[in-house]
Amino acid sequence: MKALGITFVVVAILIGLIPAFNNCTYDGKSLTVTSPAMAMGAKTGGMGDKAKPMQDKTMGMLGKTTTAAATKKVDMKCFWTSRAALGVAFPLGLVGILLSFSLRKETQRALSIMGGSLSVVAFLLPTALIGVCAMDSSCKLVTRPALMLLGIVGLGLAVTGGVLSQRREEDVM
Amino acid sequence: MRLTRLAFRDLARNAFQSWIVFLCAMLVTGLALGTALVVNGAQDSLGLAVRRLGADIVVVPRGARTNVESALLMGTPAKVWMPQEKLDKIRHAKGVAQASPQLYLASLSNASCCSAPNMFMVAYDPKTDFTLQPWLEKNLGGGLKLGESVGGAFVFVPEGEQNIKLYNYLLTLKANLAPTGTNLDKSLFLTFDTAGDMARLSRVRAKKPLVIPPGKMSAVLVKVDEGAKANKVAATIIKEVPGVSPIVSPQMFGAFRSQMTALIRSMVMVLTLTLTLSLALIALVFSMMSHQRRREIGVLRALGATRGAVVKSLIAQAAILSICGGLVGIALSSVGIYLFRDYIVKSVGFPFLFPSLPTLVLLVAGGMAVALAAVITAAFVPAVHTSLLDPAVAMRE
Repeated sequence: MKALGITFVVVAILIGLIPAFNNCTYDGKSLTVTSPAMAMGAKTGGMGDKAKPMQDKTMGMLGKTTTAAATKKVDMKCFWTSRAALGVAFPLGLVGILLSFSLRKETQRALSIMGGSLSVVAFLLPTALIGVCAMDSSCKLVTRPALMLLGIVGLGLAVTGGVLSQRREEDVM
Repeated sequence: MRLTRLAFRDLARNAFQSWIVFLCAMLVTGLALGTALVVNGAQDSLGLAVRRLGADIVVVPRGARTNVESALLMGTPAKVWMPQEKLDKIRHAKGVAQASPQLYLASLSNASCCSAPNMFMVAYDPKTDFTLQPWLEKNLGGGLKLGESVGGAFVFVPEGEQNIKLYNYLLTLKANLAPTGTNLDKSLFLTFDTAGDMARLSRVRAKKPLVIPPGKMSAVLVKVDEGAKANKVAATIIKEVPGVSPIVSPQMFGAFRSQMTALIRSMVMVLTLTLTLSLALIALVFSMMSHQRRREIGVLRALGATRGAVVKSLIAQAAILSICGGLVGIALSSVGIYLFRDYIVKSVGFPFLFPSLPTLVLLVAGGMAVALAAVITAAFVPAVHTSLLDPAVAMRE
């Protein structure tokens, strides 16, 4: 269980760090809305028309923020995905630490279930819950596949943890 | 107690050593499969791209070979032009059965008038085309009309819209071609008439007009006569048509092939180094494990276990670890390469197509064989050495 717990911690660190350094805001890209009318999708500045295809989708999600300000920089989807990933990484790391030190089978099983659930959330962040930018940027090329892969690895670890805690209990019985 | 159960118990007791062997097996298998996947994917992709072009020879303006190859493979926009008079000369060259001109165009990169920035567009002449036209007639029951287009595998109409907008010209996407792993998957194919119409209307509709110089073309696709050798026909074209470079299809994408060869060499070197180090580490770990178990093995031998049983028990441990590590390595490597394929293409600079299921199964089997062979080979010598111990001596230690 110690090895599983340590691996969970490593996965959590990667989930937190990779998106943080591979998003459009980190790369210096963002949308600039120059007037409320423009926020409705008519015109934009900042990145210019390059961001247009993706900007329309972002606008839908961030509608309230963009219509409220006259001139405002709006972070893109991948920035929020990286923030959410950081939110997933902390509890997942904690699950890993607790798993390393837990001795009771029930606790190990519960922690494995929690780790698995958090890994599923990490997988869903760039695919279904928030998404990433449409253009070929680091968030699409690195963050998205990395979160998906780490989500799968986390789920695999959780399943292994669950099975091991079950088997050891059987052995004791 | 069964042999496998004994092996599992021993592995659980020596958790640290077991983890090291597991990780080595995972690394070797993952790396071997990863290398095979990338090499195979790149070769498949280049082969498919050549087949997709469907010509025996591609004639491009002299000095534009690299530009055209980069455009077709990696989507780097190419503005290459040659006079259309050369088409007649190429057609009349000895050994040429068919010749069809093409225009290579690109959408604007920073304009709201285009659904996709810097999209590579290939305009063809439906009257003479022998690559796309037969496919269209077979699959769509006829050629493309004005305003219609066919896209590569990854071309799609933007969400909530009916057409693809390029230069503020609305194009209907009629069908998608099978994937090749190259930029052709992100390219759009349209007729000369549609390209001309788009260029004409772009002068008033788009931010910047689409420029097609009158009387010019980008490349000519050539099909040679049956029985004629493409190399000889290419040599004839060089002689008879000045200012052009004919590229024979097997030599197509030559720059990418040499780049790929260099990459394969370095990957094989890394793989060899990893394999050697892993073998040494696994052998060391197994000799440590068997040294620690000398007493236990002595007891087993005293209780009647044969030398063969002792060797089998140690080899079973090695096999279990290599299978488990190998499976995890295979899963991580194949899923990782599948998910990171776009990043790989961008980083290494050549196209990549994830292999089909039968090829993948074959490669996975190869990866597993590498893991099993590596770990069992490394464990064999310590296992035999331990089995040769005298039980009485071993128990006294």
